[in-house]
Amino acid sequence: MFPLPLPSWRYKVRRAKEHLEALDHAVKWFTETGAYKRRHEFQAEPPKYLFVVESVSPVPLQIPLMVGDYVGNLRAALDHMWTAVLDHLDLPVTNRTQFPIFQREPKGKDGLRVWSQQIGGVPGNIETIVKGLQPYKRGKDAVAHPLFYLNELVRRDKHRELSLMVVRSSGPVIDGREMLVRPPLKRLEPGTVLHEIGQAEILASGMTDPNVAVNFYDMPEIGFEKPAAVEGLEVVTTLRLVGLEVAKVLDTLAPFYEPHAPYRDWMKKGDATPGF
Amino acid sequence: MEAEADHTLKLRRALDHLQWLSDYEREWFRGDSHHSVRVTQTELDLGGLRGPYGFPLYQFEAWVRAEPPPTYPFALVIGECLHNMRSALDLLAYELAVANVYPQPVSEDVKEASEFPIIGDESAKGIPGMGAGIFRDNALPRKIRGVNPSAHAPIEAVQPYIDGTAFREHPLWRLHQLDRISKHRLLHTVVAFVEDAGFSLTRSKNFSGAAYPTPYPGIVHNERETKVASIGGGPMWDEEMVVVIKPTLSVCFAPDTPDADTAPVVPLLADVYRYITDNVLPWLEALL
Repeated sequence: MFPLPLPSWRYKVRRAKEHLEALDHAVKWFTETGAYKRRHEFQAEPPKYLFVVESVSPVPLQIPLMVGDYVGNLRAALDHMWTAVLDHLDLPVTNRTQFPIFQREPKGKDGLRVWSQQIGGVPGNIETIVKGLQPYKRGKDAVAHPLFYLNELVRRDKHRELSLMVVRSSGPVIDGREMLVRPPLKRLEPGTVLHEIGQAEILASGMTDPNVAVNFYDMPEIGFEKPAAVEGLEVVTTLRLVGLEVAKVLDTLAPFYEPHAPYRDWMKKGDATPGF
Repeated sequence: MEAEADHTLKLRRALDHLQWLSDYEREWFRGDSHHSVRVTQTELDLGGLRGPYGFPLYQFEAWVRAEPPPTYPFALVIGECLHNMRSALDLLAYELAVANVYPQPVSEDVKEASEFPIIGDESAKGIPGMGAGIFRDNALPRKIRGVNPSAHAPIEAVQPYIDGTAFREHPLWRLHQLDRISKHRLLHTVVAFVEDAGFSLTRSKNFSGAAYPTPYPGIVHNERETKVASIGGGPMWDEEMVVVIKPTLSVCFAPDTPDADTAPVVPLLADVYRYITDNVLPWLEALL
């Protein structure tokens, strides 16, 4: 193989960023050009305004494919980096070598075997750093860790379905003022009541006249429908978080894979503290 | 309108990437921004033998310098094209498992193990002739155990190990290997390669000789000139002679790329794509 000017994972990350940018544009285009249609109803008894979804457009097929390419590049960046770490340590790279992402602490014969196959026998101090980056370190919140999202998205994209849905997250606007409370993301389907605004809400907004103009500020977004790990989460923001986490891992491990790193001897000894 | 299956979407995405690579390759070598061709002219010493018009005979040689397309984004798109084709096969295997138990859901263990098997004819230790055994012991009870047994034979029929010792040239094996490397290890670096050479009739002048240059297929570099073709002939009348040789440049995988050593990138990927659409899908989509 010919040497590359930059480490390969940097190219993978750069490519992932391009996909995210394209994805962001595609999502904005879709959500701003009629992701759904709604109607406005007034109900007399008890008096309230209803905003109801009439129809929802399907999410363009191109968008989940972009998500697939994005997460594929990020996962590959981690694996390329980890291969370089092993190479610098003159450790063998096998078919099972990869940067480990574990939702649960590896325990038992099988768990420890898989962990050691993936991590590839690096010195204990590096292993400690990698363990510190694992989702399971967050305990029960491991399932909300961006690396766990990444793992799930890659697995789902490669082996199974990855589907998206139209969601919305904005609040009502009363007399031009947006209410501060943002409701949770909600799946949109025909007949979904986007919001109900009653007199109490109008008065709570500071308006003394209950007949004040009431409107609903549209801000549809695209969220994940599957996999379950990210269900209901807004796509672009979630993927951005995943990208930031991957960058954090690459930064944390940089001393161990950069060519000519001054830590090489230290890595081999594996008994000192790195200078960062 | 019937929704397209996931594997179809992945293949379409792979085709988009392939089209991009093909266009980029063509644009890269269009004009002379990224390569140069120099033709040298040497009079042949044939002991007094002269050409058909009584003029001396010459040997013309084409020397080329060429930059390979940049790693970014070329190598990245190669990786994505491979990955989308590989994913299409895996999704197809999963869809077969879903169809087999529909309307019941697929069990978790079938989900976890589901994968389209691509098996060569060597064991992990390099022992040849092991493909059929690996398929029987690994693929059937694990990767495709959830699919209907009627799909087993079509899946086995497209396995690289069927080709015996030539399995490394099988399109699916190349897909498997190249995707694995791009995903976990290294980016696929590429080089410029001369496959063939032609003779420009419109830009050449006053030349009579061989109809086609003799090409010397091989990698061309940017740091030094490489001889890529030669042609012999001489002038037809006593005026300046111009010989223009046009090498056909393409992008190839770098030497030492496992199972694709200096193979041209776009034809190889197109070959894999066609293999999937012509040999894999017709048999298996019928079972969905």
